[in-house]
Amino acid sequence: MNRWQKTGVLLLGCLTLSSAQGEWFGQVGLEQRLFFDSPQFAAQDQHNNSLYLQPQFSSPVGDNGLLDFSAFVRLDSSDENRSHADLRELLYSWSGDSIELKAGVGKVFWGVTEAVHLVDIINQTDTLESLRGDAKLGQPMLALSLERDWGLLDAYLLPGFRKRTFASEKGRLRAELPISEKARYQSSDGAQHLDYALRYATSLDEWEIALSYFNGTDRTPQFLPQFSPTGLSLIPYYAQLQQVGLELQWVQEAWLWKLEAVKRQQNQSDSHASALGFEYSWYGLFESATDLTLISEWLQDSREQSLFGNDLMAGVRLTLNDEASSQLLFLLTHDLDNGEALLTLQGSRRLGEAFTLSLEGSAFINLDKGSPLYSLRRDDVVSAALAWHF
Amino acid sequence: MKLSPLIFSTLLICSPLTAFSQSAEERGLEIAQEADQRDNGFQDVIVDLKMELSNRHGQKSIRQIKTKTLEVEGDGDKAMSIFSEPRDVKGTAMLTYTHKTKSDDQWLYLPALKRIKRISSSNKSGPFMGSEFAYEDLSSQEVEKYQHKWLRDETLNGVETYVLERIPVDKKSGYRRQVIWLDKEHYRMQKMDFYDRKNSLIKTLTASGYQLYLNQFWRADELQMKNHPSGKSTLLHFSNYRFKTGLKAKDFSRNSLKRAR
Repeated sequence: MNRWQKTGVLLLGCLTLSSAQGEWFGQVGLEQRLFFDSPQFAAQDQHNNSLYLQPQFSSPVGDNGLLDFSAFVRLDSSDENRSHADLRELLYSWSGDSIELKAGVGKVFWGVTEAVHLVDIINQTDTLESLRGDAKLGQPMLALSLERDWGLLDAYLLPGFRKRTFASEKGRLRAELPISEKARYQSSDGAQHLDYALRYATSLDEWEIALSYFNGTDRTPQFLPQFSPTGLSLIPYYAQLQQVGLELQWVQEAWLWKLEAVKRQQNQSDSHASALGFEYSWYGLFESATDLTLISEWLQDSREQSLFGNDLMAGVRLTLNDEASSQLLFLLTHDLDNGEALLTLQGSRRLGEAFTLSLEGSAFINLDKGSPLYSLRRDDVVSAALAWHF
Repeated sequence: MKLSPLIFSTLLICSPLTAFSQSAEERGLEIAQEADQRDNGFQDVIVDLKMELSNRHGQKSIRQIKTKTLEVEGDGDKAMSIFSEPRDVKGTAMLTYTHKTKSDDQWLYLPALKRIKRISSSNKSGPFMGSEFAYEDLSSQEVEKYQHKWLRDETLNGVETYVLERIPVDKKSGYRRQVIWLDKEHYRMQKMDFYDRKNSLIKTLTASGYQLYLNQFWRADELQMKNHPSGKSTLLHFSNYRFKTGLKAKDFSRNSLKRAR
């Protein structure tokens, strides 16, 4: 299915759902991205603007059932890959006394840290929508949850792998070599490999702990060079992965301490990664309503090609607590080994009752020639989006 | 046991004496406990809340919230707030486990990320959704969270009231003290003055339109909070009260935040 056929299916889905009893909501937005430097590669455009639509629908089904639908469509002026549509959620959930069943396409978040999401593995990252990995593609799933006094146990069956999204040749924020639309898989089942995952979570007063296991196709690809008559390109290769994850959080007054750690097994080689950090908040700064939160995390990854092999992230979050819910987040991630740094900024506020204005910016500092980010050295960017929420 | 005439007469003589010798603190606590006692046994309650924020120029903005509360025996209540307006925060939900003496536990659910975030319980004095209500004004009002003192009896707008002073036990509170007017007949809050850490009057809360539910529970239709220095005010309008709906602890679990609608 190409992306326009997918859009058609989505629209059809919308029409079917509109007959049921439930509620439609969502947002429509306009985004302008401004790059500080001229493009690095000849095919790239300087700036781009885009229109996006995110319709959502939610309806009760019987006494214990829920149907949730959410889709995302973006039309981009220059990057054909960024013009994309995705079914983020079409999920039926049924909840009994201490049991919950879910079937369809959904999104699941695991984790506690801010700079990286190491443990989070159920959904593929939509890199076209978020550099920090917060946007995700919908994942087909069958999930069973048991909730008892001893905690929460989730089991997932995940049929149907989603490939990671990448910018096209015309788009900014891309790799030097074009990335092939095709992908290779370690498993002979390819994208049809049936993945599964388990997670146990519990909390005890100010402690929260979760243990997880994933067995299936790695969401993060490796890249293989491919020679063809049109030139050199990269082909994403998705290996099989067994991952054990740990999430730990401890809250003490204005302190929030966090740990995420994973142990991965891939092609008989082991690797591990962790993120350890804290948030500390001052509430009502200088007798105003503003809250200031300091965030810091130390990131470690044993894989050589990892972006965050030995990094220190430090950041500040300002929450104005005003009528417009204004907030601003600065994060600086600094590589302690080679000195390169990534600065990101996120800000948003409400305009009137139904509009929001959000700002995002990223700057790549001190990029090393050997760095996987080197192709982004002229891609410092600020984007502004105006959205109407209905 | 049959009381001997001597003990009986001693009791008769002493009881008015003990009443007189009761300190203002004891009297204050007794009144607060009585008010709390009268609201016991509601089990659970669901209510729709419309928040109307006004600034000094009369500009208004609206928040729509559904709140569910579960009475917990021997501890503070559990509460969930689910937002439907403004539209950009639709689906956001907040879960609070209040405790009588130790810090409350609080989580926020962000529907766009499907993420449940633990929130530090130190954030008591911050404004709730940009309103004139602080988090601590809206959380479960447990007797143990304050030191009470009876100040005087007073007629307020033609209603006989007890006037109590209460001092928050928690050092993180934004208030030095509060003065509360409770009507003598039903122990319902009529008015409350809030004094900041510098002991100046910053806010006044007034209740109106009390209605009786299930023949026991009084709830106000409207609560108005006026901020004196800023001239801003927030009006809470409650509607569609449903008591004893059969909510259980599992409806207030962290995981239930994802199901909140």
